Amino acid sequence: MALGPGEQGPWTRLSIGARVVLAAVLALVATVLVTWVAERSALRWRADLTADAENTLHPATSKVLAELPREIEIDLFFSLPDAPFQLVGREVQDRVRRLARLFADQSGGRVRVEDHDLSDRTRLAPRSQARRHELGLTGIEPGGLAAVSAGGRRQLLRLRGDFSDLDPGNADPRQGPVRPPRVAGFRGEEALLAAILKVSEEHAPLVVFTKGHGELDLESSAERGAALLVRELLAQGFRTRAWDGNAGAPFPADADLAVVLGAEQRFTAPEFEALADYVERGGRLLVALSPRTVDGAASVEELLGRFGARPRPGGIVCTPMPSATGALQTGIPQCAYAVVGHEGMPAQNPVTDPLRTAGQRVMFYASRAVDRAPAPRSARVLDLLRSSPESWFETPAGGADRYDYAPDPTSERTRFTLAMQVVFPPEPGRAPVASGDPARPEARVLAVGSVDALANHLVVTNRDFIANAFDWLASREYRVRVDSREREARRLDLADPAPVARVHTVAVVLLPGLCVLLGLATWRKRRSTR
Amino acid sequence: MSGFLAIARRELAGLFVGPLAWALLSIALLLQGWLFVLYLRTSGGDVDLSLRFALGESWAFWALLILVPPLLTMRMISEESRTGLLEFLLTAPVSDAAVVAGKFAAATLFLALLWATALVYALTTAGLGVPPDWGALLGGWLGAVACSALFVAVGLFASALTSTPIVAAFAAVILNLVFVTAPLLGGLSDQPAVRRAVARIDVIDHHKSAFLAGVLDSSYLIFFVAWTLFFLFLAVRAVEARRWR
Repeated sequence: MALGPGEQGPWTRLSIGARVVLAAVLALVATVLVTWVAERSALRWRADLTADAENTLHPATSKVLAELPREIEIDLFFSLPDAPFQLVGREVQDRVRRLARLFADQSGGRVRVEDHDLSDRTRLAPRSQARRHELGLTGIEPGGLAAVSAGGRRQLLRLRGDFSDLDPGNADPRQGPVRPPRVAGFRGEEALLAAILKVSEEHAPLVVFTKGHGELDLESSAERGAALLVRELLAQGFRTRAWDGNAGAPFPADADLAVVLGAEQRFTAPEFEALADYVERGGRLLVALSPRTVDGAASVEELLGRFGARPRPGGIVCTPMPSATGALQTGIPQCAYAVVGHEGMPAQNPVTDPLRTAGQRVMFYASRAVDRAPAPRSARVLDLLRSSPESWFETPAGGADRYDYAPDPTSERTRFTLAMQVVFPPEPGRAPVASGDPARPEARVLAVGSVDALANHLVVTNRDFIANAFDWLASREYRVRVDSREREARRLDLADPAPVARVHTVAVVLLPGLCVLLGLATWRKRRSTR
Repeated sequence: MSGFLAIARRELAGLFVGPLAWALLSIALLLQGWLFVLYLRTSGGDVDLSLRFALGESWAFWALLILVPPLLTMRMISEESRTGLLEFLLTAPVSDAAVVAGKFAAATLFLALLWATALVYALTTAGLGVPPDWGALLGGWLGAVACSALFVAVGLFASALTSTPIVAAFAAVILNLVFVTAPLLGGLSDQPAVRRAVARIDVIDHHKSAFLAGVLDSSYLIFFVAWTLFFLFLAVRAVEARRWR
């Protein structure tokens, strides 16, 4: 309706203008309010239209999300995947993003997701940098990772290995039919769920470190200190405590696992017996060995020998190091490093399987070889990490710790066991440990040949191995089985050019061409009717 | 209702009688078709992934969405206002809302048709023995239509503000760009409140994390409906305001 002659004054127009602005503001508020209300989980309705139910969480996941005891944050730090996984890596990133969003949507606000795009490092938001610092993320590999955290605890999940298995395919026709890289398996839901369970559980397992025998200093930030290990364990949801048995303190009854970090002196007899008794009653023990042999009664060697693992005395394992030209070098101190790849790890093992599938390696320094010894009744002994086949056993050339890092002509070149796992039932008739798992009462021992593998200078490199090892020892294997979600492969055969050519004809020639023809016909018709 | 239908029919016929719609359709289909084949090749023949690219995963989709709706809607109100046709229309026995809704329906239908060409791609691959995930395709198409509806509403609002079509198109492109890029820029902020606020208008995220993933979620659907209605409301108000001049 037009304004009448008497209604065209400036005040009338101002009043109408104000009313219009008010109406627009109210409409904006209503829009924001409606979208906010629509996000409330109680009012939401959703339907998964996909044929493979890709967007529907497993009932076990939904149950966990519905009963979460605390708020969970999922930080996605995704970057460009490395070759040849650029495309499939992005596909996995995309699926993880959607999955994380699904977790957030179904948790009723208990799970929050933050996506930090690391693709463009020049524009990295201060917020992302701050979160990386908070979560203790120093280096992020190509492709990136997801951090699941609650309070001070966090779990890191990698694109390759944790979320998915990626098949590099074959780009070389000489090595068989050319295949593009593909996602061989996607288990994002299971990985996220396990991480959420770990960071949200009420019980924090207690790790007891022995002290007073030359072990690594738990508070030292020096290269051979263990401050980073302790920080990593706290972040993983463990508690830590030092046990000074020398001072006569009793072994903590609430210990979930005992750790000996490179003891170089013998234990006292009561300490030794307390440790042995704890393990024999179903306790968990990790012994990381110092390069120096400590033999005799009440030594770590004797302790491990009692459970089926015997450190080989008098030397360390060395491996030839590749030079810049690719030739293998010996006679240099770097030969004391042993890098264990997937070929030195068993499959189907909770400690090494994630490392194998992720293509990750474990680095040891000045590692002892661990041999098998008579094991307790019904024990299962497994060589967990083995050196490369070119390794040799290096003995000091003149005096303790003086190595020339060169194999003797008579040196045996073989794989040495650098870490050994032993599992056995507790001794019958004895009271099981207080913290034991009643569902699966068993003692678990892990002998690690190199204490340096757990020291500050190698903790970041071996972070996943350490996390898996401690999780296994503390029975933190969350087996909420969620089936791997495989998208049914719907692929055109690119080896045959005909199908793609046909799609090209339809999509690029026929459809646009038809529009051009119809447009021309319309134009001609219009001209002729004028 | 009959007024709304009459206007929608008239607008749709007007679109297809003029050369602009055909030109836009041809260019858009050529770009979409070429990119679809490109994605098909680079994804190792993955039909679902390529269709997702065509319906929202690619930059080309968003470029088309930012540019095509303003070009379609720029003349719908502003041109008619300039030529005096709008005044004639507003004196007809139809409400302002019916006028705006009819034009909105026509432009949205046109874009729905454009995105439906993904169905032709899918039928082609199905004919070659590789049928796509039809449910996911439907979700992607619905999302593309929802995004288009929102941007058409923005375009109509801009068109109602001015009598110069090119200015209307320019204003609509700017508004669309704000919608698309604000969340990206907001993501750079270290203020959680800012990030949360801009996430509420993140069109790309709302499309990609629900519709394009093959999920029909009432919350995401209401997001698009609410914002579309908001801009349509503004457009109706702007048309109404012409009576005061």
